[in-house]
Amino acid sequence: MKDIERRLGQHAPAEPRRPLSSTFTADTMRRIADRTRPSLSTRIASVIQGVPTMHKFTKPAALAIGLAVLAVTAVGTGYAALQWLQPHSTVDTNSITVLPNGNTRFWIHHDSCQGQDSDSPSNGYYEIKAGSKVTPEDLRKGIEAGCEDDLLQELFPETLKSAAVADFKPGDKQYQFPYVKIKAIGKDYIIAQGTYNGKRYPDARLPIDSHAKFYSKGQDISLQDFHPGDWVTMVNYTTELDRPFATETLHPDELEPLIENGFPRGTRIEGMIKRQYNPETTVQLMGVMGEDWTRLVEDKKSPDGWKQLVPFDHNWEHYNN
Amino acid sequence: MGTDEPELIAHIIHGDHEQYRTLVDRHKQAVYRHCFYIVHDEDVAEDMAQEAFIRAYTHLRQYDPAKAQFKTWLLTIATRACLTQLRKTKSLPLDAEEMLSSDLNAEQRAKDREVHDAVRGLQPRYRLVVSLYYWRGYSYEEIATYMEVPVGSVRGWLHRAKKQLKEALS
Repeated sequence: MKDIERRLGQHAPAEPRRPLSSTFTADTMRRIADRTRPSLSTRIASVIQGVPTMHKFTKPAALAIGLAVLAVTAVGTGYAALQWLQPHSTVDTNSITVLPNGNTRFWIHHDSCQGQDSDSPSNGYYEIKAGSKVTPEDLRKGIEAGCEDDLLQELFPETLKSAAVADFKPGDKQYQFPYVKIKAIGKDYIIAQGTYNGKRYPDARLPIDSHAKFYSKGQDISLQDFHPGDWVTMVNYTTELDRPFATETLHPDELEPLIENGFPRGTRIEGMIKRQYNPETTVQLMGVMGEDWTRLVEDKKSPDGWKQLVPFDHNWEHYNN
Repeated sequence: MGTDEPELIAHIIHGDHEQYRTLVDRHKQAVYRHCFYIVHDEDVAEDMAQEAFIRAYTHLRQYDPAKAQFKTWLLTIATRACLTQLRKTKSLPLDAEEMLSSDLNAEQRAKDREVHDAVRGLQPRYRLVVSLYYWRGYSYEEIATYMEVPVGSVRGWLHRAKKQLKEALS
C-alpha cells in the first residue's frame, strides 16, 4: 500500500496548461441570465398580455395560465379571436420557445393559406425580439399576412422569420446539439474537433459528398465556404433508406459513437436547408455556416451563446428541388 | 477570501445580480483548478466550474455564512457537479498527454500514464478521493466537506481505492 501511495505522490498530474477562458466570467453571467429568465409560459403571459412575470408558478401551471389569458384575450377581442382560431392560421403553442437571447420563437402553420399548400414557405418559425411589445392584434396580423413573406415583414416588422434547430431551453446543456469545430478541410471531408456532452473529440472525420450543396441565407455556398475554425452543428439524420425524407432528432447516445468512430462514407454535411437524398447516405447532417456565424467562432466557449444564432430553415421541401 | 462576502451575497440576493460577477472573478481560478484535478480535462473542468457558479447562484439563498465560507460552499457544489459528470461519462476520454508534465522523459511519462490510467479506471467517488487527497493535497476533513459525507467514508473509499490501484498496477 505504501508503494501505491508513493507512486500516486510521484505521478501527480500536471497543472492545467490552458488558463481559464478570458470570457469565463461573462459567459457565466450570461448563462445565469439565460437560466434564470422567466419560463416560456410566463413569457407567453407577459408578452401577450403584459402581465407581470410569475416566477412562483411551475411551468405547467404558468403555461395553463398563459393559455387561459390568451383564450380570454381572444374571446374579448371578437374578430381577432375568430381570426386567431381560424384553422388556416395556427400558432403551435407547443413550439413556443424562449431562446437564449431572450427572443421568443413560435411556429406558425398554414394548412391552406390563400390557395397555397401546406408547404407554404411562410410556414415556419418566427421570432419576437426580446422586449418587444407584441400584442395579440400584431400576432393576428402577422399570421394573416404569413402567406406573403414581404407583407409579413411589413406588417410585423418586429417578427423575424427565423428557424429553429430544435427545442431547447436556455442554458440547457443536456439537450444542446453537438457541435464541432473544423480543424482541416480535405477534398471531400472535413476533420473536426469538438466537445459534446462533456467529451472531447479531437479528430472527427466528417465525409462530405463533393456534390453536396450548402445553403445559407438564400445563397448557395460550397465546401469552399467552410474554413478551419468554423463551427458545424449537426442536427438531423436519416438512417433508414426506406424513409428517405424522414428526419429525426439525433439522440446524443446515438451520435456519440458516430463522432467517435467517424461517419460513414457518403455522409452529407448540409448547410441549413438543402437536403439531398442519396441511397448510400446513412447519416444526414446539417452544418450551418455563413457570415452570421462570425460571432459563433469568436464565442466558441459559449455554446449557449451561439445557439441563438442558428438560422435554421425548417422548410426542407421548399429547397429540395 | 474577501471578508465582505456575506454583505456582497446579501446584495445579490436582494436584486443586485451584477455583484455576482465579483464573486465569479474572485473564485473562478480556484474552482477551475479544483474541477481540473477531479475530471482531468481542461474543457470539462471549465464547464463544471461554470456549472458550479450557476448552481451556486440559483441556490444562493440557501448559503449560510455561519456554516461555511462561500468558497467552501462553492467547492462543494463544484465537487458534486464533477462527480455527476464522472458518473455520467464513466471514463472521460482523457487526453493523457494533457495530464503529463512536459519536462518528463519517455520512461517517466510511461509510468505517469500507467498511474493515471489506473486512477481513471476507478469508480467515480474513489477516483475523486484519490485525486483530491494525493494530487490536490486536501485533508480527509476537507474532502468530506466537499463531498458532504462523513470523514470515515472518505477514509474507507481511499483505502479501497488504493487496494484496487494496487491490483491494477501490480
